[in-house]
Amino acid sequence: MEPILQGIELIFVPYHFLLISIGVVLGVLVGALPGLSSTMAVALLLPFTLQLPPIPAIAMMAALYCAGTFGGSITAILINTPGAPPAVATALDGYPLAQKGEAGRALGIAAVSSVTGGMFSLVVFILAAPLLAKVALSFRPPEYFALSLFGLSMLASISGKSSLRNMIAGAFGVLVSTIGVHLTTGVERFVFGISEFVEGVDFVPVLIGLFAMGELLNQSQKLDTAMERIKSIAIKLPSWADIVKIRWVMLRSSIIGTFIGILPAEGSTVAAIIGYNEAKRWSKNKSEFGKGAIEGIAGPEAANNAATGGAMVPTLALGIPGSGTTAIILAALMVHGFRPGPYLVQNTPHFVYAIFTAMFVANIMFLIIGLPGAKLFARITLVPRQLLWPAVFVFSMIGAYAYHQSLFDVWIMLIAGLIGFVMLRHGFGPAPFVMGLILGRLVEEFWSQSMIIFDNNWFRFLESWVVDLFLVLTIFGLFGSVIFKGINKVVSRMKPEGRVLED
Amino acid sequence: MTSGGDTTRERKGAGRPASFLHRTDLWITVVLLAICGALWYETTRWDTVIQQLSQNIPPTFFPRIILGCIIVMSLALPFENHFKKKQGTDLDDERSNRVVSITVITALALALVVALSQWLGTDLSMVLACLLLPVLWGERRVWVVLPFAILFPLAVRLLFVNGLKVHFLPGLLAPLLE
Repeated sequence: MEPILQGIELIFVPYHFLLISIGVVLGVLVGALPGLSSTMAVALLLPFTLQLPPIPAIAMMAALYCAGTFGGSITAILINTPGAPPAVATALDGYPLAQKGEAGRALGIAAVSSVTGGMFSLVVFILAAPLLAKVALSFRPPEYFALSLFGLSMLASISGKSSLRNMIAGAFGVLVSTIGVHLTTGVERFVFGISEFVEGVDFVPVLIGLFAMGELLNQSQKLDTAMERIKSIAIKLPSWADIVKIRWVMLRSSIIGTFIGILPAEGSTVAAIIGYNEAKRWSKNKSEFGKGAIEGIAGPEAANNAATGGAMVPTLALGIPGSGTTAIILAALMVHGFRPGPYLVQNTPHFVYAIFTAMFVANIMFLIIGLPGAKLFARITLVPRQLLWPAVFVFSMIGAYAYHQSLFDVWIMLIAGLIGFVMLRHGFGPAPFVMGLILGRLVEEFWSQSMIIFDNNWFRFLESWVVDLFLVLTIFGLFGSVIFKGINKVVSRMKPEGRVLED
Repeated sequence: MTSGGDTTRERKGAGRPASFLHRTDLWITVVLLAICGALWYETTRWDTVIQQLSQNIPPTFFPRIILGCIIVMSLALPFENHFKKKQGTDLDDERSNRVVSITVITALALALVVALSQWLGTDLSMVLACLLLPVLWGERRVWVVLPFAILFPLAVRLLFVNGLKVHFLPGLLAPLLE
């Protein structure tokens, strides 16, 4: 109980409260802006927070993460342009409802569902994180290696159209993580005579480049696309009848979202799509979906916000990022000198509870700020691209520079941006690359330690049932869809034969 | 044998099934294999460490495993589109539009700003970026661009230099800032 109170106490300081509020406002604004994602915003925020103490720094990022997920629904409902990928499913019914003149009601339902999902996942987070950490405390390097490998295998199913491309991007991330001095032998790897590479490639400029610069170049391709203007709207809280109608949808989606969030690498977008599909599947009025059904707004919104709390569970308790954004939060924890994982939960529980409290406050705050301010926040889309993206470039340049106050990092950021743009064009997402970059170091470190323990005998990995379990899960993560398709094919081939026999 | 005309007709034919080998992806594979080949060669040039010192884990082992995985996965890339199309997923919709010239110009402009920042200093580089990019992207209203190019970098300076104690490169403004 004491660490919980300590954690709450750490957040309820006016300065920290102010930073969380800034994080929420920034999150809603960024979420509302098509093209600017909360992942990019957290990456851009990272250099700012380096000067801050770790608790307000991570609290601010977590608040931005929560609010950014909700912010995406504003433009999805008002102008049918999801501000962020998790709001894609919200637009399917949010926009038609807004077209019927009920934009305020749609926004109200989105906000209440988001808060419900967010709160639910935080309760799970606070219960699950210590339990998971307790289990993970018994893990040795081989178990951690298998767990990290499982995390990497989940890249195959991270959002995007191609598992293969996700895996290749992730593998390149792992490869980039090997740049620098090899810890066991002291040999310089892939340094190419560049002294800045000796200590490895830093996360910050790479993250900023991939997420911000890549998108900037992407936006330059859309300069002739007109931006839709916001209509005047009045936002209102959902009626009691609405709440009653969507209560089970919210609960179901909250459970789905939290579970998907907890799975390594699975983010809010997947949660939102499944949340929408499940809302439709269980609905008595399926025909209303796509025409402005309130369940079609509540389902994805509760799920995508629930995924934020869920994604924090493996991030903090195991050190395995639960989504692209939490991968950046994980990198931020490392930059601030923390080692995310069970020891973080065991040794500094107040820190974990402080993050929980920050996310809790953020959820309440975006209901308070987001509802009355939605009209105002939506006006951010009126900022011309010609000014918005140069501003993003300036922030990226200064953000990359400020980390080590080195121009070399700015070049890294720029090169990462160019690579990110080309990658994105050909279906290689930046999120798998970043997760590979972060997990790569852990995988190699745990693998090396295990090999020393096992005296270079690979088969001894199989002695632990935990390793075996994670290896099986890894195989399913990589080839699950192929395996299930194969089984389906065999079953469907057998069915007609059965019918023939019956005939 | 099909005549040339027939072949052209076949190529233009609507609803034609996706080719087994995707040409763009084939080029990507070639590039990836070239990168992997160069990086593999690089691993052969690293210092050798005696087995006892490396505790049976040579520094080349892990990177080579990753390179091997990338090579294997890259070899499957040119065929992926064929199977994805069968499943109703189009991997080409993102890249179907050509890269427009403004994107290339923007990338070059960004590189120019970064290249000049050592000489110009951080403040002037920000001003240059805030002037150059809006103009390149079609903003012609001077009363919008000029205040933006002055006020925004000023705000960033206040935040980073005064608030976060980051040292900006003085560049051309050195005498003025001193």
